[in-house]
Amino acid sequence: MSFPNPVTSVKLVLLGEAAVGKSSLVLRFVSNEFQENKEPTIGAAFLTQKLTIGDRAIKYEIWDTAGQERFASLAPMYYRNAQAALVVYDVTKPASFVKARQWVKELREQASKDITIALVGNKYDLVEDDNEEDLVRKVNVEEGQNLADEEGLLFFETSAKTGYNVKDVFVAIGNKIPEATASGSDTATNQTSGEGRIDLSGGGNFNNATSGCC
Amino acid sequence: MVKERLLRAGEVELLYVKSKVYLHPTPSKKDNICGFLSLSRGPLATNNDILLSFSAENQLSKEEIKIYNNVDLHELEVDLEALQISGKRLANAVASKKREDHIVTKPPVSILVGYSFSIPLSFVFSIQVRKPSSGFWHGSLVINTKDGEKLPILFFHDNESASTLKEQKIRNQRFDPFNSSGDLYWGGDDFIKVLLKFIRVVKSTVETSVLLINPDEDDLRNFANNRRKSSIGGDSSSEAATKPIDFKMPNIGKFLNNAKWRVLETVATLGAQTKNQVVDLVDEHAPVPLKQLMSKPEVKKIGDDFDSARIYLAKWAQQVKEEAEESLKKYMLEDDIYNQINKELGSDEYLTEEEINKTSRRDPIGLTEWKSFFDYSGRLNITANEIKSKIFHGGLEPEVRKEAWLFLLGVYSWDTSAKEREELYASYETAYSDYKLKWVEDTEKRSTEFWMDQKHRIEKDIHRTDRNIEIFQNKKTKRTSTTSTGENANNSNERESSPETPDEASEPEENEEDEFNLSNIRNPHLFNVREILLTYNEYNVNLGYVQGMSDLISPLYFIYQDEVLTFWTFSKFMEIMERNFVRDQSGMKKQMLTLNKLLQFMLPKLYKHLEKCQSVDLFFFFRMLLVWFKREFEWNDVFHLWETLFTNCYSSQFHLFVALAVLSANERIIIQNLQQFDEVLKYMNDLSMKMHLDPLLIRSELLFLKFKRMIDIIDRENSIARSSGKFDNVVNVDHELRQLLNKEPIIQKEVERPEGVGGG
Ligand SMILES: Nc1nc2c(ncn2[C@@H]2O[C@H](COP(=O)(O)OP(=O)(O)OP(=O)(O)O)[C@@H](O)[C@H]2O)c(=O)[nH]1
Ligand SMILES: [Mg+2]
Repeated sequence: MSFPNPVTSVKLVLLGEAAVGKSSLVLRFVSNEFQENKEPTIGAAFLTQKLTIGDRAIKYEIWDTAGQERFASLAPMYYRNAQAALVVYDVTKPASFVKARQWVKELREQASKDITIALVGNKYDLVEDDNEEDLVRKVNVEEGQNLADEEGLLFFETSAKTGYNVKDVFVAIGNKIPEATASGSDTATNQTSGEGRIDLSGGGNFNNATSGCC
Repeated sequence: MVKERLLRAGEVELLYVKSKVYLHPTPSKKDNICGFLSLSRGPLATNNDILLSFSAENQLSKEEIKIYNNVDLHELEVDLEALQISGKRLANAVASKKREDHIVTKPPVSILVGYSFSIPLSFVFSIQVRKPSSGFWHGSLVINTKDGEKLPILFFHDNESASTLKEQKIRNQRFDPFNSSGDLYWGGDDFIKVLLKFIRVVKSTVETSVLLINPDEDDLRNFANNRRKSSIGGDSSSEAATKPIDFKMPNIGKFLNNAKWRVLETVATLGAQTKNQVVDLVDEHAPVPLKQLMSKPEVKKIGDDFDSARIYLAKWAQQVKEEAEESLKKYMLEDDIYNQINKELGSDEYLTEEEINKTSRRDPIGLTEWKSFFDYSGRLNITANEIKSKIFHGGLEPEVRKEAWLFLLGVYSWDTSAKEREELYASYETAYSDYKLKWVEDTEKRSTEFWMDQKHRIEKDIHRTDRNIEIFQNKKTKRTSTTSTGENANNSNERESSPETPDEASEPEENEEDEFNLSNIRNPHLFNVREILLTYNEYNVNLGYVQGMSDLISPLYFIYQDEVLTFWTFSKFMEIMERNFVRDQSGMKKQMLTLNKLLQFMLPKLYKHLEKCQSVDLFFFFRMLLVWFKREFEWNDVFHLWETLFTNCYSSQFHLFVALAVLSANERIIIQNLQQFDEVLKYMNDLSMKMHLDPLLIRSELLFLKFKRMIDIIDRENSIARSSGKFDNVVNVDHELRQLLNKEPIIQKEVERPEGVGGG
């Protein structure tokens, strides 16, 4: 039996305020669907999707996290050993852009140094035919682009609803992930997975549960 | 050594016996005649002379019953070979010694002497095999003789027959409850297997359930279309006899149609790399027909590279197991299910029969039964604990929930009369409007950033919660409840929260844009839910609205479809759930920690494995615990699970035992197939909508009982140690574990919101 291409595994995490459309983006990417009323994510969801870019086959292992503030403390579990992150905001919600900034900052501080980050302004379909006097758009393209330039992020505006630019985000990420980390990714996860734990210890009596950590 | 001797005249050697075979001469159970089906051979008899007999128990002597029972339980496989060899010798008419413990008096050859009967095989024309599955509770055999007579039908009571139970058990342990044709094993299988050893049996191609015994050419012509014979055995062609019936695709096709087997299709797309794992797993877990399917080239030729194959397979294997358990239930005594689970839990030594009996399930409480619990004044005439135990063990019919949940959640106390409840309702109604007015009338409050944020959060979430449930769909729905303060107290201009109270006049067709204009709720039920949540936000100022609550309120709203009752049941529910939502997450952490300790105590092997996977923080339980498994079970099951938990029948923390049961049910798979933190997390995440609630509840209960028993034993040993001064021997049971025996709910309130901190 022949194996055409080695498969690169990319561990990817989605972060961003509640209801900006993280789950919807994933759903669009994974099954090319859109659900008007995708339920709020609790904890996180895990999905996979394969994509062939040129002669490379890439398997995305996607952690779709919950956006609500209260659950934000869980996010490190998911991003600590991620190779890529999608930081998503809603182009009609300025607050979600503020939140995106915070996520980028946190990732820079906490996540692995060579993590590939894409900044994604979602719900582009809502602002497509904005006219002069009645603007639905609340976050300009320039604002997004500036942040991306400052922080060295990939930048896209997308619509999970129409599918606009969605695949492009993932392709761009795939292209940025070096092939070297590719095939050996299994061992890579092995080594890092010990750090991926959230510290639930609080008072410290949970230590026995976080073996290998701290 | 078993004694051997030659047969005397009038004696036979028993070749095969099945116990608890019944005749059902009348439809009434009490007329059933219990006996043994046997194949036996007299001195110097050929295979054709082998007797097929039914011997009624009451016509046999005690000694003989003992011998029959012995042979029934005798290892069939071992004997088959030996029998055949001796049979060959017998064909040469050489008398040989027989095991003394297989010798009985020859059953009377006449047909129907006091219900017993006996005929030589050469006299049997056909046997129709009716498996338990084809609409009959008991499998049965219909025997037609050569002279056209029909013998009384033989019914196999599999749940009573020692040998069948034994065989089923062995197969269960091997996890292979299927016989070679892919059907569930039943008592008649062995009989046919033995028959094949002695005589030519041909399956009729017209009616495949009919076996023709040693047919001649004419018989075959009558029973075989196009002369296509499918010989499934014969003493001459032993090659054919031992070859198992070819596995047929249609059988599996039926399985595949079942949603649960969809995973199997996934297997077909798995990676080549993992092929060996696939094969291993299949070897280990799959029932025979599936193994055969898996070995088919088109399935084997799976050239992809998906490396999570293992996990899919593991899950699939679990489903196979559940499937098997599910269908087994139909054929097993209820007790056997409990014993089986209990056994798997390794709790034989801890649980008494009585305790196990306690876990028996009952039917859900229907309206009539519910009404019978109350006297003329609407007061309970049985104890609250009795009712709770009934609910715990069987749940409620949907129409009872409306009333019962008010008691379960403490909106009404169990000892009130109907009149008192009426008064209570009135005060609840007023209190609700008061709380609601707090935000409705306060324009200033409603313009604060915090409040608008909260409102936005609520709207975002209710738009995305259970929208597949009919009442929450955007259709032309009737407004079912209009509550006092809703419209009358205010004119809508004042209420930016609900500028457009939904009304039936608004145009019915879906305007997509509306979905995203969150304030614009046209579904009256969603509108009501928003009103309730906004009021709760006022009622519990410190906590407010947090994501996840929309999942908790929607089943309640579904039951009541009324603002006042939904609000109060929700508020009461939130009293026990509040700790799940506190800002610093301490309530959730604490529960996971307790679960961690419970896991160490109860399933140490699994705990050690999870430790290796760096998963002992049990983080994967987050969602399950946060909203009490709402996302893991189908809509209807959620109600059943919740009312079980509401009872606090054994423990106010019973949900942790449900969580433990989830782990216990998946223990083997986790240990054998999951090595990494991500894998565990993903596996547990994906259990959603795939678990069967009922077996899980039984498992949870048994786990609790076992837990309690273990604590009791420790306490007893401790007091012995103390009284004899051996303080070193005293084992300390962790406080949090002991706390699990407590039925009092654990309440943790949110602290005041610090300045500048947002909600949500
Ligand atoms: N118009 C439009 N709506 C979208 C788009 N993407 C998502 N939505 C809608 O926005 C809402 C929220 O989407 P989700 O995908 O659930 O958001 P999320 O970021 O996963 O939210 P959390 O799980 O709560 O963190 C849903 O009602 C979606 O239908 C988009 O591109 N265009
Ligand atoms: Mg989501």
